Amino acid sequence: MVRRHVGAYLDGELEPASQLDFEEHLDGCAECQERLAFEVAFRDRVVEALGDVPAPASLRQRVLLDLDQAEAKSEGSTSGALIRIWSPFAKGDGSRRGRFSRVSIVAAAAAALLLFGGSAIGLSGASGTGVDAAGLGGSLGGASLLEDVVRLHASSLPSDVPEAKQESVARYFEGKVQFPVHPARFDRGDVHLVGARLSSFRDRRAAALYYVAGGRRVTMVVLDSPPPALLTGAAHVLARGHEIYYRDVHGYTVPIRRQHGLTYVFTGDLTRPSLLDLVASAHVSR
Amino acid sequence: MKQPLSESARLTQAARTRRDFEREALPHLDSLYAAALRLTRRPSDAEDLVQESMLKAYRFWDGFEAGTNARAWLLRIVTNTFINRHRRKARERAVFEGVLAGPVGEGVMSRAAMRGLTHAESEADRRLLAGEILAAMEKLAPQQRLMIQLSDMEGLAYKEIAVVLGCPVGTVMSGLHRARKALQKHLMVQAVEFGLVEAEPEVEGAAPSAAVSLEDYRRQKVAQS
Repeated sequence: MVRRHVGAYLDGELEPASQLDFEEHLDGCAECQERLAFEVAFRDRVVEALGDVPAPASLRQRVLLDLDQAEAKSEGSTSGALIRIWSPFAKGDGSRRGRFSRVSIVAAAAAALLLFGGSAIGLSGASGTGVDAAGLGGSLGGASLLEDVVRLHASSLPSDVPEAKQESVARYFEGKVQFPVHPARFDRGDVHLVGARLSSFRDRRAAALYYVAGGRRVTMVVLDSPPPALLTGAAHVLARGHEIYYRDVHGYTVPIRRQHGLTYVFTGDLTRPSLLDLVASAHVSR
Repeated sequence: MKQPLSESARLTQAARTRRDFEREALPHLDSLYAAALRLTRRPSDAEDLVQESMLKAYRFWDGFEAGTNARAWLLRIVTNTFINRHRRKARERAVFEGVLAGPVGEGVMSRAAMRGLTHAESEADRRLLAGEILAAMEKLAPQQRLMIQLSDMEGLAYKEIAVVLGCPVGTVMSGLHRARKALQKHLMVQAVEFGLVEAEPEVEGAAPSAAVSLEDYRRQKVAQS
């Protein structure tokens, strides 16, 4: 009765002495021989059933893009210092922010990479993806998250909260995401919070909040650490004193607002101007 | 002016890391994805898990000792990332440890049952059985699925699996044994349900004491002689 060693025996993981003992026992034990035959056959069936699952090509691409960004980051910045870039649009709400807006290090590093571009191309040699992908990488990384937001909106998954009240929704997310979620409030009387859902977008836990504005669905997603390239290449407008970035994704306008370190991504079944106006009018902090 | 530099000297640190990483780590992407799929079960989650893990691995590439087993090192990052991500309620870790450390039960299976679970006459039977095995896998804990994947599909040695899971080799041995038993048990339940196998009076052995360790066996043998 050395059944529990059959597996290890088949795996070739028994100590030599144990293996000898096992084989000696096996010689005289029909039951264990049957058991062994079964284990061998069973393992074959498992291998057949599980099969090979090659990584999708898109995954390889995503990894390479990440590497491009990480490489650009370590090439371009010597320290973790924030890089501030002049922006004529950054006046808006807080006086403390001054007229400079924070720009992600990666964006700056990508710019730095462009400066070093010539030599980087020369050096990347074998990896042909090098600089081309770095140029695209930023926008793709951000766009795919926005695609996920659009997908979430379009699929109108059910709400996870029993009642769509500001307080209960805020409480629902406590401990589930690592930042406080305060459902946006709107001055307009025809906008209502109707639900919320914990979601994850490209590895990031996020809070999704569902609204109905004038009878049309609007989804707002709150994130604390958006991909660095989220805003790269996005259009932006200044409305009601807020900087609103937006992109078009699968026919949806996807406005993005940032406030107090959090990123708010919206989309909805509204025209661009009315969605942008709605986003600008949102009170997104406590 | 500057002296012309050799090609390798011109490579910046970052470019060197990138080159080494692509050479050493990237070829394991399929293995990592397959393992991640066992852990998460959903392809999109598996992709996310591998993507996050690869970025971590790249950032901590300095911590990888050249010449050692890159696949096990990477698999360990995937596993840890998975655990950390699911640890919010600290439940998964408990499940993990329970799976690896719990007692090992012994099932007694009839010949008919053994045959029913492994024998497939036709192509249709084979497919049916494969489907049942996949369904039974779903019922295992993530780490049990991972151990089976690493051992049966990746052919990793227990020592390497121990590195991946961050546990002693002995724990891998009992953990794997337990995982395979559990898989067979779930499969058995399904097979009975589908009428592939006749119900057994005793699917899961009631007496774990029936299992005798090799050490005991050897001691008995010494005593007999």
